[in-house]
Amino acid sequence: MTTPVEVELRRRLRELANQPGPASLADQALAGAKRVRRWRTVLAGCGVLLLAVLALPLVTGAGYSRYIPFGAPDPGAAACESATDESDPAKGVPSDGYPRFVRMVLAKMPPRDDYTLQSAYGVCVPADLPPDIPALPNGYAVVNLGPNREHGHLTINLRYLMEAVPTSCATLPTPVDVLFCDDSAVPMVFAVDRDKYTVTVNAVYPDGRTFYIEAIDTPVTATQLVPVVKDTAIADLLL
Amino acid sequence: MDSLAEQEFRQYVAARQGGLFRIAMLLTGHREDAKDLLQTALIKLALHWTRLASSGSADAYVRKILYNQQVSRWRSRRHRMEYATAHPPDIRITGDPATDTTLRLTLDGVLRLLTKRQRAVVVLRYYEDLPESEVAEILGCSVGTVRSQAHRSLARLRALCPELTSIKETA
Repeated sequence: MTTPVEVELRRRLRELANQPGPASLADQALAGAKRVRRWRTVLAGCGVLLLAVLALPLVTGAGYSRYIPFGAPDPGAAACESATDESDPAKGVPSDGYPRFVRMVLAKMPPRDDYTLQSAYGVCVPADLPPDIPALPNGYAVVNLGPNREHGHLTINLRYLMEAVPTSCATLPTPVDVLFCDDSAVPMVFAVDRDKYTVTVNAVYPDGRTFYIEAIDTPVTATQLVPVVKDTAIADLLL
Repeated sequence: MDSLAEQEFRQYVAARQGGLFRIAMLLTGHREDAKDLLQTALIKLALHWTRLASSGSADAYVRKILYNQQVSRWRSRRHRMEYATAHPPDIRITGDPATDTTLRLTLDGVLRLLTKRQRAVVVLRYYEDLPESEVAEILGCSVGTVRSQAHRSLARLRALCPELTSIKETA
């Protein structure tokens, strides 16, 4: 049944939307698509080049004696991998195309068989940052629970930019609905209930990095996400 | 994309751009953000134009991109920063409820107080007039979620924008 409020809302939405559109966007879209294709070609080329560089010591026998300190970032960590499900949104990104940090995150998540990667990039500086956003590397992924988000979805940010990074539970931004906060260990961890459908879990590292996972409409709990954001092996991929 | 496909793409954009822009306006509430959102969706459409045009699913694809891009928090620069404020946004609901302009501004302000998903549900249900099952399909969630989100959104709109209920009596 349609209520008078719904009828009125429909009418008002139409009035609100009734604005002149911009000049034709077709040329800009075509140019943008060409840029994306070129960028993908360059990325693919870089991938091949990177593989060649990494494989060179194996082929030549050199590099085996090179000392890699314990805990140092993996030499391949800086690789910028990107993935999108645009070719087949119903199935998501094929699992063999998941970027490394996504695989590491999913390995720490509660076991489920319906994690479906929608898109991801990282670990690298995003290409389209506005000038007022610091050009810092990030790993970003949208993971659906079920190909059609039957059980919600997660967004993952290895580096979530906050205007004011809290340094203790006492300095959390207000007003927020804090589910829990623990600043007795490193990294400090806190979870926020945004709107009853969305929880965010944040780990704040001593250098100010904030590893952030947002769970929207999912059965995954904030507590289950804590071990993920506290995993320094994942967080240190940014270093 | 060959020149014929490009020509077809331009014709499609010319025919659909106005309608898609209006949806983007309602989703973002900002003209520049709306243009940016639509531009991103059209670039993605252009990347797959040949396949989508031949299957006749271009409309469904671009609309799905529009809604899901907007719901995804990382898309806009506004959502790359967490702005912590001590007080709720300063959006006042004032003026004569019988005045159309006032109500338009009021509704625009109140829409900003909804979550992105709630806003998307409102636009799909009450602007595009889509049934709950189609809304669920576009947003990739269950019909139950759509129903509850629509219910909560309406309740919130009613509470924050009482003019919406009184306008019929006063007009």
